[in-house]
Amino acid sequence: MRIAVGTEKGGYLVDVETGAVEGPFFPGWKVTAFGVAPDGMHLAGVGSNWFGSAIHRSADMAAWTQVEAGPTYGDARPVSEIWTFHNVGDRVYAGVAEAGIFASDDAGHTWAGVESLNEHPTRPQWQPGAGGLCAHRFLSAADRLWVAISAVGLFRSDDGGATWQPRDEGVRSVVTPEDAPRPEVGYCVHNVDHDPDQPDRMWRQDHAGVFRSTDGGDSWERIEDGLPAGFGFVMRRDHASGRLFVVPLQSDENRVPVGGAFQAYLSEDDGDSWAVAGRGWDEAPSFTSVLRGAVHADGNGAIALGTTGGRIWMTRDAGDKWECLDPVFPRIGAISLL
Amino acid sequence: MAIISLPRLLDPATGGVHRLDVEGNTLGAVIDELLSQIPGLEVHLFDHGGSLRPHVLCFVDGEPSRLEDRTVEADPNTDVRFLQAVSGG
Repeated sequence: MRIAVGTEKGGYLVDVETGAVEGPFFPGWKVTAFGVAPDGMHLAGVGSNWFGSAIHRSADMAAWTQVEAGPTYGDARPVSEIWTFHNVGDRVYAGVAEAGIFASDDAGHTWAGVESLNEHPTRPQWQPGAGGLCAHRFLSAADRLWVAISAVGLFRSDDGGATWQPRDEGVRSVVTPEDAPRPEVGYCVHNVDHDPDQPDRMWRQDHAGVFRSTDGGDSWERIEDGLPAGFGFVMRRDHASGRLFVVPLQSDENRVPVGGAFQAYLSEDDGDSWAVAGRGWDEAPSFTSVLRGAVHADGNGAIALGTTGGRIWMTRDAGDKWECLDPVFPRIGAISLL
Repeated sequence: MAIISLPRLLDPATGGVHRLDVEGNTLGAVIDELLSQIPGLEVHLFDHGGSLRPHVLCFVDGEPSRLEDRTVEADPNTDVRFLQAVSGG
């Protein structure tokens, strides 16, 4: 098994069995997202504080070619970073900052903006949070699509992307006091996942806590029993076991593991309760964290977490045993099990 | 005609080309031809409004330029160098 690692300074490939590292590819660039196009080619989103962002394709993750017509809003606003890729049939979507989604029907060579979301009537109210204004997570089930936008909220389309509605009922707004009228947008979703077999069963790591929905996001309930804190950036479900995983951090103001105990937590009961995930975690204090793009689950028990300290923690048995790989990388923002 | 120099960090877009001769009688024509030869450069050199990115430096014959006056004449010895700014220390 290999892992693609996207860092602040280049991309790398790690062989999990041997620890051998290839790379960096894109030396000096941030590698912000990985995907696989419908034709089997690898996709990478890259960015530079000097030179902006781009999408590249590769057959082997060694030789990369910048795509012909990457995401652009024209002169309306910049595309400053590529955050995520998601395939729906023969179409691949990219979620970007400034927040929006773009679609490609030719395996990522050319991209067109999804205007129904990118120019949503609420867009004038979209304001960036600490992580910027980005569309960072995309889920789908037939014609039902979900897009998570930081500091704005979770949008759902029931018609294949023709129209979108915010779906944040039950989640505290981050832009208004709790006793103020609920705004239409201003909900800071950090991550979201669902059960592909029952896609309306969803779990959400939000700025405001950990939540569950059983109705596709129409309503959300808080589920934090057993967690040391509600803040964090990770939410993943291992499909084979049904286990959920989060990595709690102290708080918005102090984004480190509580007491320096860096550990994933898991739930075996759909979020009713949580406990430390398995064994293998460092006993020494560790004040690292995991960013929203630095988690990947293969659905069959393997989960990789990339930390801001440049380490990779992974499990291959749905969270019973965790190991930290030997290589140390720059700050990790994206990760993909290959 | 002009001689264009590009920074090494742009290798993913240029395929490793750091120096090339580009046809054109004006600075504007030279830039247009450069972007025609290497289309992937445009998003990296220029922002969404068409201006040179704020952290990209350009020197034309040794003088700093933001490429705002594209009517400046170019000749075979015109030297156009793109550099990344020392931004952030």
